[in-house]
Amino acid sequence: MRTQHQYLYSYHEPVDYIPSFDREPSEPTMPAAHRVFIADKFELPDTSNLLRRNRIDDLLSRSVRNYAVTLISGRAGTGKTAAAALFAQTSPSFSWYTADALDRDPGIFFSNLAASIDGIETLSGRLTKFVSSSFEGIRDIESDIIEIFGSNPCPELIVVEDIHHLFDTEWFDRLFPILIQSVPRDSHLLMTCRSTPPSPLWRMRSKQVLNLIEEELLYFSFDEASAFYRALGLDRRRAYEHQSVTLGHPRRMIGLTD
Amino acid sequence: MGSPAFVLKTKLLPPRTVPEILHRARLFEKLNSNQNSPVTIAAADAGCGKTTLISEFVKAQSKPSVWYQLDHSDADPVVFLNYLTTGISQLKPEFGAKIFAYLADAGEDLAHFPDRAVDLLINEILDQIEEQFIIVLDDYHHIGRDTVVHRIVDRFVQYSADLFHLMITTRDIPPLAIAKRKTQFRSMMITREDLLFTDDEVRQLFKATLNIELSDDEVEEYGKRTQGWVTALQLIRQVAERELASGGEVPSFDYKNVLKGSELDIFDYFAEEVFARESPDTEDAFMRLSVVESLPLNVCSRLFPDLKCAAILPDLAQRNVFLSVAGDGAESEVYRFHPLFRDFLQRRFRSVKGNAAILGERKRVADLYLRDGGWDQAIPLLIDAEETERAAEILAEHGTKWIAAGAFTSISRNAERISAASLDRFPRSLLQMAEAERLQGQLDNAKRLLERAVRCMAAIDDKEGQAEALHSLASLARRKGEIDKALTLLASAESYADDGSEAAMRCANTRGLCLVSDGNWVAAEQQFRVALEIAEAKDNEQFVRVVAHNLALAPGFRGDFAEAIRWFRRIFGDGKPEKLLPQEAIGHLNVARLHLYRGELKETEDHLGRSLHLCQLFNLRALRGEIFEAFANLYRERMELPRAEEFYRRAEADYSDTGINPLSKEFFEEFAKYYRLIGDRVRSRTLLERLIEHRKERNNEHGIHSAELGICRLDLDEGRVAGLVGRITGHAEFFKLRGSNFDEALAMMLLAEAHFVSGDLKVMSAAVARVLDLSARFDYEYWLRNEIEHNRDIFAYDDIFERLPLDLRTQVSSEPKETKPVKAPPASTVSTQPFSDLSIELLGHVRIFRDQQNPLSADAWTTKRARDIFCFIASSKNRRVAKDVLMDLFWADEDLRTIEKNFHPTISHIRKALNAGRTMKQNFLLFRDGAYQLNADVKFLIDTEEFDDLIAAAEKAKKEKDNEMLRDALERASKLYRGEFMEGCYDDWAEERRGYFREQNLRVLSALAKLAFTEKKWTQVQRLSEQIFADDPFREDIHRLVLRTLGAQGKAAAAKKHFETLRSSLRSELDIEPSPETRRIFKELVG
Repeated sequence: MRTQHQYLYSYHEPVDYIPSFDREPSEPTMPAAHRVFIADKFELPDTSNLLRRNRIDDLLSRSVRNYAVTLISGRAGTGKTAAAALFAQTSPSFSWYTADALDRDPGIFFSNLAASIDGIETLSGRLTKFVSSSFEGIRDIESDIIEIFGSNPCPELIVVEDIHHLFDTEWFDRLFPILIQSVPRDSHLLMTCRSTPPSPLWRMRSKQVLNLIEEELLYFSFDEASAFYRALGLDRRRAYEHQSVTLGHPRRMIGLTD
Repeated sequence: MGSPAFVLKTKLLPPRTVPEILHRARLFEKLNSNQNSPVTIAAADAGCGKTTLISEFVKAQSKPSVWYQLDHSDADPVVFLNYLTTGISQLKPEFGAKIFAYLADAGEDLAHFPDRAVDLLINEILDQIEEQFIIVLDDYHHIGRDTVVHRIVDRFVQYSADLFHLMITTRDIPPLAIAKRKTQFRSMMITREDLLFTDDEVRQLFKATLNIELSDDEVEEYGKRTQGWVTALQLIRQVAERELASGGEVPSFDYKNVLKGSELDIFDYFAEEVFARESPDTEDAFMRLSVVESLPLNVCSRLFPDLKCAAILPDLAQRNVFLSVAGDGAESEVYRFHPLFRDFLQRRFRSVKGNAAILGERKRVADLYLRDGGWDQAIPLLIDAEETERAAEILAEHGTKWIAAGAFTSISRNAERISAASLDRFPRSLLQMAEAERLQGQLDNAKRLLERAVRCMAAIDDKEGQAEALHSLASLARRKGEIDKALTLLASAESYADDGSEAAMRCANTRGLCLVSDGNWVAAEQQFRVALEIAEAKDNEQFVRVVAHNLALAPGFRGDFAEAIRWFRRIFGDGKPEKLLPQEAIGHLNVARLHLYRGELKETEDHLGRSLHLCQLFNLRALRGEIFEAFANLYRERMELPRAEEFYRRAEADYSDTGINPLSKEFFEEFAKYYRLIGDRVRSRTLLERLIEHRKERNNEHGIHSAELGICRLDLDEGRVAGLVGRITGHAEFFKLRGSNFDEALAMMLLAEAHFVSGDLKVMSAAVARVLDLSARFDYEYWLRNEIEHNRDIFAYDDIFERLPLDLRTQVSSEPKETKPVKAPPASTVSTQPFSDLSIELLGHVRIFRDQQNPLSADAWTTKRARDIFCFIASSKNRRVAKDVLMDLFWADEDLRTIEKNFHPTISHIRKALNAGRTMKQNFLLFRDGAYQLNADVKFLIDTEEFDDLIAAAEKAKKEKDNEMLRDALERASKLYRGEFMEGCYDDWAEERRGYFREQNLRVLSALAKLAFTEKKWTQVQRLSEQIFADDPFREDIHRLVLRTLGAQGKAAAAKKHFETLRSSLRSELDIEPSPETRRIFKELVG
């Protein structure tokens, strides 16, 4: 197979083609004055073309009733975001935060988490600069999280999407249990990720704190596939065929409808 | 897309025919004889009649023409190319879309790489224009000597492809490369000496225009005194004309004394004479009109409402009072004073009315221009009117428009004439000047101006201006590698910039680039996002593209290909405009590579095609190797191995042609994978070892680990497992530390395989768990499925199987896919496999291929003549034929006009046929030094050449008595000869070549037959003899061979029968007997 390195080329320079960059590792730190987050990280994705499935809503409702935290784990294209977004809309209050590679900086992560929970005001419509003296770096994860969850009334549903971007950070192992244990009594933390966190989950699961929903549960059943195909104007027989071939894997099914 | 708004159409109007002009046959003849060379240069002082001569010549031609009157503002490449393209688009309205699109966004790319724009322009000419045309660059000297436009013209001339002839008028010899080739230059040059009137012409001038017969003495005197200077003669003629009109005789002035003066004195004397004869109103009009450089009729009427310009200008032009007119006779009519006469008028204005009057008039006209939005025309007039502060103010306000139009020289030239104090008072003018300098590559000048701007902005408390200037300084520092300094300047700039402002946007992007230089990708990514947000909010599409590309690089490097593609979609997504910029070729190449990692092969091919298209348009030869390499990777992925091999070879050849060391690229690593795939591990290892050595020299740590991982792969294939686990683990840890997720996944998978081989299944399981984790997080599903396909035993292991999602478990449990057999040539022959850009097969029915699967269809050529001309050139010596020869051969019975009409369209059909439906357009046919030739930069396979080469090889082998090589060469030659040369073409030239190749083929067959005889392969002798007799039944040497063959087989009866048949046919057809030698052999055989 191909390896992946030095294979992309810079575009910005007018002076002919820029040779590959030699990348050096660097600490993901930034001066506080330049911490920036982008408002669409906090916006609920467009759900207008998504199919609501009662089974998934029920699954999540039960999870909210019985656990403090729900973790939906599945590969790309298995319908995590759709499930979370459609469910969030049924919640009386919710916050949304999509993590990405930049959030591997703990300061940025905590700033963003706080911003999503507080609700955000943006400059120029979309852009916000966030400077917080509270999160100059991680002093104490526990107290930082308590500060975030305790400073304001929290929404009933706190969604953090794509948490897997943080899995390889050295502070994630400390963060994850504290985060789960600190969720306010009247709130529920719903996280999505592409693989399961490296932290041991069994203890939290056994204590009825964390509910793990794996991707197979998100796959389309035959009835759901039929409804989905009907919505697309396709016939039931094809829905059945495609569901059998793909086992109901959402992205692969959608691929076949193309 | 139409031509840019900044273009003044009047500059593209040819001069109107001057009444009473003398036809100069000897100069026409010289110009005519030079039409086959790419350029003619008329270089002489003012007033020598260059423009008149060239304009009359162009009008007399049947070819269309483009007239471009240059002035000092045309020294900027963008301006020059915009005018030139607009001019050509007058010949074909749809012409120019690509070049205009490029010029609109080219920015400093053009200053650095002007050749690209020319290549784009020439490609568009080749694509769209079929008829030969003339381009005139009038008053070329105005652009000065220090401009990149000369490079543009040089390349334009070099690659003119016989489609246009360039005619340049200039007062001095321009610094063009062609002008340095002295022998060639002489023939294409019209000098002052050529332009001076001969005695005969002086006599004709007076006779033709005034009906005055000059005596020999007078002719000699005029000639001696004026040295044939056209303007002086015209002046004398005009004075004489007026004398005659007023009923006088031939001029009675003392020309002998006048003509002793300098040319300027002579001019002033006669101009005074001309001037004095006009009415006071006209004199006044003359002086006032002289304040502007050119006089478009409609503009003049607005600027000088009291002068009745619509009446007097045509009248003066009609009377030839040093006023030329250009135009189409309709609205767009523009008048220009003769430059010497305009100088005279301005001097006169000053002396008669005083300095204040002329300054006042200039200011008045400038105000009128400004009222109509003509700030670019107002600025030089304000400077001339000594209103420099207002000029600086307008420059500060409008300079960005000049920059946007690429008119950098206009900024610099005007700013040079404004006092420093005025510029400092309006420091944004300094920003414009600095930008103009930067865009022309004058970075030190730009820096000085920016520092001055910062000081002046601070004095007037212009914070946004300070932010802009400081940002520009930071950007310069970054380019010089002074990253710390750049970051300090940016911090300062940001302190002045408003959030969400243009300056804040630029600062964020530049900060991002600084952080990239420092290797801090995470922080850089944040900055790019800020820049992108502002750019999108400001709807700055150009900036969005640049930043989105920068943003895509970081996830691309860390192996988050989907995220990288997400950013690229902002540039290349559905409905996004295609930009014709060279950088976009790099963008498409990058996206293609990302798609390939994800197994999105169709998208990969699409983006590679688009990258190659731009590469071709801009002639980005240095990038082409990489595009071919990426194509090869794609074909390797699809298991189209011969094609992959071909494209690796193409890439290698392109790297070599452009002087790029392939070791500095990924080429060897990719090629090594190809060799491993076809089972040539030795070659694969050799390539990787060379690469590692090279990377060690350059301390390329990541590259070393990557290539060494390739070696580990080979070791595992070959069962060299000692120490292997440790080595792979080291690489995996390195990649993890660096955040190179995909590389880590590769290493971990290889580690799992190594553990599997050593039976350490528990550790193997942990390694695969990491593979699955990375694969899920970064969506490496395509890659993972391939790994499952190749390592089913590993994935079927209980611990691992249970971790797999349902669909992947199904894959593990299913029947293995039937893999396509690897159809690659044996490794030993791979490297010698030739490839070609174009295969031409002329032996038999003509077949021409860009790729072996799809020969060009007959109707691709538009006309058969186009195809035949191409075949003629391809089969000629040195693949080259003089243009005249082509004309004589293919249009033998047609008149010159028909030839002129048809010749270039036919050549154009050839070029189009060879590129029809192709992403990779190539210029197969060049025009050089009066001849058409196949482009030596392109790789051709021509069967006639190969056939001749094989015969030469056979002759050599025969001399060296190397029968094996002899047979090989002969058999290959025989195989190439599919039939007669160009079957179906009955032109004389084809018949002639056909005869030659037929003879050669008979030689091949007979040599093969003789070889078969010595090897006692009787059936072969028989078959080959029959082939020969089909073409020439009376080849007695072959008949003797047949007799001997029959004899050797003991077939006496058959030999007798053969001999009798031969004798009978010789008697009946040729009335001769078999030769004594044939009879002797026959006797020996049958006793």
